[in-house]
Amino acid sequence: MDRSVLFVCYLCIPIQYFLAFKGYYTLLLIFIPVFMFIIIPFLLVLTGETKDIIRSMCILPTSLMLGVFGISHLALLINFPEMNSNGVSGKALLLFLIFITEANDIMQFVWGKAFGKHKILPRVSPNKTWEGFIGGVISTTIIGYFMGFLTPLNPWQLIFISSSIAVLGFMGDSIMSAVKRDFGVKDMSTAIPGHGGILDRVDSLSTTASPFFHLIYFIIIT
Amino acid sequence: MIKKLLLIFIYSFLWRNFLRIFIGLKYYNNESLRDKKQFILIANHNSHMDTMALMSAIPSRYIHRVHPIAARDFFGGSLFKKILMRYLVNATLIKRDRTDSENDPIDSMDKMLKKARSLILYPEGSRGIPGIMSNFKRGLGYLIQRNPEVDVIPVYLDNIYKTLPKGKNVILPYNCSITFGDPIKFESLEMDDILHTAEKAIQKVKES
Repeated sequence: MDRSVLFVCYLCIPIQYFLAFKGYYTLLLIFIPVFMFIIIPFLLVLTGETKDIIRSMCILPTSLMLGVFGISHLALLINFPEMNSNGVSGKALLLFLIFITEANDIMQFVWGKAFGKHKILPRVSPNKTWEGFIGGVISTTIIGYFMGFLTPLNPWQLIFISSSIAVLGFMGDSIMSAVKRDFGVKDMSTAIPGHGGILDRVDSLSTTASPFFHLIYFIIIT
Repeated sequence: MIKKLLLIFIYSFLWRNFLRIFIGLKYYNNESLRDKKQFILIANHNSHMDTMALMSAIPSRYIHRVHPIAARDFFGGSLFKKILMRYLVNATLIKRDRTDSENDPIDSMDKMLKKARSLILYPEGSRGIPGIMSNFKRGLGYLIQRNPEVDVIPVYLDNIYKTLPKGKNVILPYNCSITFGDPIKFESLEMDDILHTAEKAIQKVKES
């Protein structure tokens, strides 16, 4: 993979967060999935090397989607005008999302440790069990229900959103652990003993942030 | 004085923060340098970033007394390059061969040590193949034989070559680290023993 193309990928991070800071909703949504999806393969073509080019074309946009696009919605929550009017607070929504996602991680871990017998993904992530998953979804929904004062939602919406976050968080965790397994790293760093680094806490947020944002947006505008 | 402030600004502020925040370089055990008066740092060498990483790890109090050793034929090409190396890297340029008896590289390094300066040396001689330690040059041995009282500190630079490989010009973030070891104790001052001990010390830092 050419280094200048990788440099452009790293450059996407500040650009994406600048768009989130300004609250440019549409531009933020299309910047990586549309613009970068075209620009990165073209830059790869410009380097003139066609060997393994499809591999690079696949890896780079996917990594950007996983690592940049999803998490940038956290910043958009704070700076999006429509999330900060009519008694809705973007900061409270952000707190709700992070709290629920992390609570889901912990609950799935705790239930799995306590009652886990049947493994869901024995080859990717041996710690994940059906018991942990179901217990985690139920307890996360309950926690979300009682954290509802942070959001403008009614109880049924709260239950729906909390349980979707639980399922999505499980998906994000599994995707990222498969990626890490392919790269041969277990944890990103050793900042938190037993839990890996900060980035290991973020991997479920990369899939929950964007759907949460769009669910809330849908509920607010209707 | 101005040179010292310039070096502190460039390395202890600009490069250190740049390497920490944008490259993700991790410093291990660099506090051990804090109360050392004089030392020779020896490290593996694969990239120009190695010198930047080492200089940024040195305590700002005596950064003006630490000189990376650079090859004159590579870095001293033009006057502009020479001035850059002299003032912005604080480097000492030496010849690679010992044919000229007036400009003997060992003598000039020895003179620096006698003036209580510290040196950064790459005993491999040049940027070798990543991951493979090539044989150490004998210059390090001569230097230690003449100055056995100076602390020799092994440093291992892990993955730093990936941020700027040989022949590339784009700096990219990678998972990299710089680890400082304990001063080497030389049991005998025979040339082969010195080189062998130094090489093993860097291996040991790598594995720790």
